[in-house]
Amino acid sequence: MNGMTDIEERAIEWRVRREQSNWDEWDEAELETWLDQATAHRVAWLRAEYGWRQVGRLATSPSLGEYATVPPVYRRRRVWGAPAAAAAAMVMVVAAGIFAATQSYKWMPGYHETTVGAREVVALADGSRVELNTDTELRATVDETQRAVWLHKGEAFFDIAHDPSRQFVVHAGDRRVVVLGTRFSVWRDGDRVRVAVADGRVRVEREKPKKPAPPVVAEPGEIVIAKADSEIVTPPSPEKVERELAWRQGYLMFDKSSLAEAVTQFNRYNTTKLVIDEPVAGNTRISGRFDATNVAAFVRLLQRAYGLRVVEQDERIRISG
Amino acid sequence: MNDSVDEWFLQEVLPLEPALMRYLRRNWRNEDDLPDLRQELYVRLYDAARNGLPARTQAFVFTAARNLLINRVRRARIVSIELVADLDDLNVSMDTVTPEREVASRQELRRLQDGLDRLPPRCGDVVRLRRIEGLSQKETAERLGISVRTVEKHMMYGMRALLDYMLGGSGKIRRDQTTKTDRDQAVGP
Repeated sequence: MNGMTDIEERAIEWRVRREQSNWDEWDEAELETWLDQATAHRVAWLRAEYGWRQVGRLATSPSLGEYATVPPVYRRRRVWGAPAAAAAAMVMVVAAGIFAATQSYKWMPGYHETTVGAREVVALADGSRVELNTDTELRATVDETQRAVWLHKGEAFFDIAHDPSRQFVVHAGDRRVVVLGTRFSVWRDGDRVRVAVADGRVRVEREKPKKPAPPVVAEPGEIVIAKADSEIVTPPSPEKVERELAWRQGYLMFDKSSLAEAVTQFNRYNTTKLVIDEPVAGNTRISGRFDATNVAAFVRLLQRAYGLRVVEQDERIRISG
Repeated sequence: MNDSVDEWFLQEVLPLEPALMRYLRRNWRNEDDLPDLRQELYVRLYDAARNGLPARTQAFVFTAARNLLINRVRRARIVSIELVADLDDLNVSMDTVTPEREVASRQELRRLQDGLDRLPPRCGDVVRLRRIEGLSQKETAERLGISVRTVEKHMMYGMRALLDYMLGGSGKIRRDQTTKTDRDQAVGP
């Protein structure tokens, strides 16, 4: 391949250095002096700038999807598998840490996001519909050769137009959900991917399997929960899937769910977070249908029907037995 | 300095580099001369554009490239028949030289993916987080459990290698520090 002149190499160094945090007016002046010395310096500088912009431009290409996330490396000790409430708090922290300022891909074509408590419907070019749930970020690409969504964060319901010539693929972390045409939801929840099937069939595969792994096929009424190297498929239950998808009408539905589970769900849709202070009696089971953004109503129920103590403190609502 | 010339150079000249290098490589036998040829050509183009931007950039660039090669041949004390087969070969057929933007961007994308893959793992992680995901230095440092200074180091080496590779170089990381100001902190391996 081509080599480069010394001046061109120097210009690249300048360009990279200019992005560093310790760049100051002194460096700027030095650069200007160097640029003024010769046209060769100036054109080399423009070439370096062009290369820099190219990386930035191509980095926002939808086809670069698999490079858009770097698996987290935790040097500090974290306790996974802790009680649900703690896990919920950790999921929010992890999500916030990973996705704090994803500026460049937010300007990509096909990027959509929702804030906490919001929902949005997106129509795709092939006639498919994607409903974004709370606090979700995704990117969709539909063209003649492919139909793909990268679910960076959150949950979405997919109503996919049947097209045998183009699979529809949802990339969620290290899993991939492949369908021809069907209705299902995908929720990327920390290190777990949850797929609930309303109609049709989906295939849940691993993006980069370390060893050959059979894909999991799910049918209507089933929910696939994928984590690390394993998948669980829940026994078919249309009611369960209906509850899983109630958010589409703005509701949360519980059927003998634990308090921790209910709190986790509410916290996805509200900026005022619920916190369980002391372990509440294990037989506190929540059932019913709730407006997802009406925390006050849920809290009132906890107080009246379950006799729990609720205190509002520091922009959080603390629940105790 | 001259903003409109700079913009013209960035938007219209530099995207032609792949096609330009193919042209130069086809018509100049000595591979090692190519970077200097490119540099000299760019200087001529830039200086000429200061007096007025050309109407048709592509024709301007390739005509200038052809003239450059002819001048080089004439300047050589001994005209080696190895340098260029026939001056007539230098005639540029406009039909055969197209930027092929759609193909180019697929190739460029592959090149970027390839360039990223060639980086050492930690370097690659930093470049992806900073440049592709758009995280700040601090966020990148937190995410990877390393210091901000280390993030900068990886960014410097990684982007240098990546730009080098994207612009047609080998993409090898050079660890020698060539910046000269004494304000630079000492950088370890």
